[in-house]
Amino acid sequence: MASKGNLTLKSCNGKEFIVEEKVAVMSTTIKNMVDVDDSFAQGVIPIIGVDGKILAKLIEYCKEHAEADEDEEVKSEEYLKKFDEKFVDELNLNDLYDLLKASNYLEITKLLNLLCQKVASMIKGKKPEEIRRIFNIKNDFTPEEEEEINRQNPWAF
Amino acid sequence: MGRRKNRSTRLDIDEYDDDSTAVKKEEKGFENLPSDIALEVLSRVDPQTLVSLGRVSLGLCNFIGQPEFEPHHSRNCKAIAGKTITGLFLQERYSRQERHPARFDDFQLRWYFGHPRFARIVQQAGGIQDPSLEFLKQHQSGKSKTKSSKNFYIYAYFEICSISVLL
Repeated sequence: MASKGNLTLKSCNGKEFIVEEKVAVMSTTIKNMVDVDDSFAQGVIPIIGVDGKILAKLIEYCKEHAEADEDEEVKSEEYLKKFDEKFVDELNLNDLYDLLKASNYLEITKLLNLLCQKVASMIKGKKPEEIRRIFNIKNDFTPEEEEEINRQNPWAF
Repeated sequence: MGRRKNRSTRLDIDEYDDDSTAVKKEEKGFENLPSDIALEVLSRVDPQTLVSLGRVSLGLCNFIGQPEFEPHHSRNCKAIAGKTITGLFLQERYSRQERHPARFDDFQLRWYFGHPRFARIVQQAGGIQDPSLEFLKQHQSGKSKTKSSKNFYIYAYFEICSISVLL
């Protein structure tokens, strides 16, 4: 049972996290749940489809940003920027995907933007073969189609 | 409220894709990443990389070729690039079989709907400098091309209708 001002979040594999309300409501989804139904604020909020590892990451991110929103002197914009950079740099591709899905579901807009930007920057300037390799995408063009594309777009490369 | 609104436009894209392979392929490539997230990610890619993306796989090619993609991309790129304008012209090719839709085979259908054609704007943007659009390499004039080739391009007046600029 969480004390007043704290919420308990439960991941899909059963891990429980006690977080301050101001941290949890960085997620619009959780904020709406708490606003609509008081029982959520007292009990455990199940976070469906998000495992403990990812939820811990989400909370880490939200904590920093919630604290920064509250006190700009201790955690300046510059500090946040550095934190964001470090945060996304440490992620592997699977974590990135999971976090993307989780932040989309929980509607943590800032994080979603950050992650989208990160993936986009991984694609930027890459050749098709490199993109396939990085993101494990199968080339499903038939040789016929590929030839056609090369013929149509020679000036673009 | 803003996000709610986004939601509904994203759903529209899902519906648009219900008969095509785009979403399935996309999920496979990006390990089950839902199409609304893929849209957010891919619409943040600069126009030139977008051309490379179109050559990665058919799924991706269809995904960025769908009409709903362009407004998203335009909005996000403007937000990212600020005042710097880069652009690509997108022109669509129409095949002769267009007049007989029932005779489309799968391959032609993909070309017709899914494969955007890009040409770079040579001049620094600030307006189209050459109203004849001659910098579009696919721009053809005269009827000889039509006779000799199985596929042909709808000429200027049609191209103008089908061109959109990615800013």
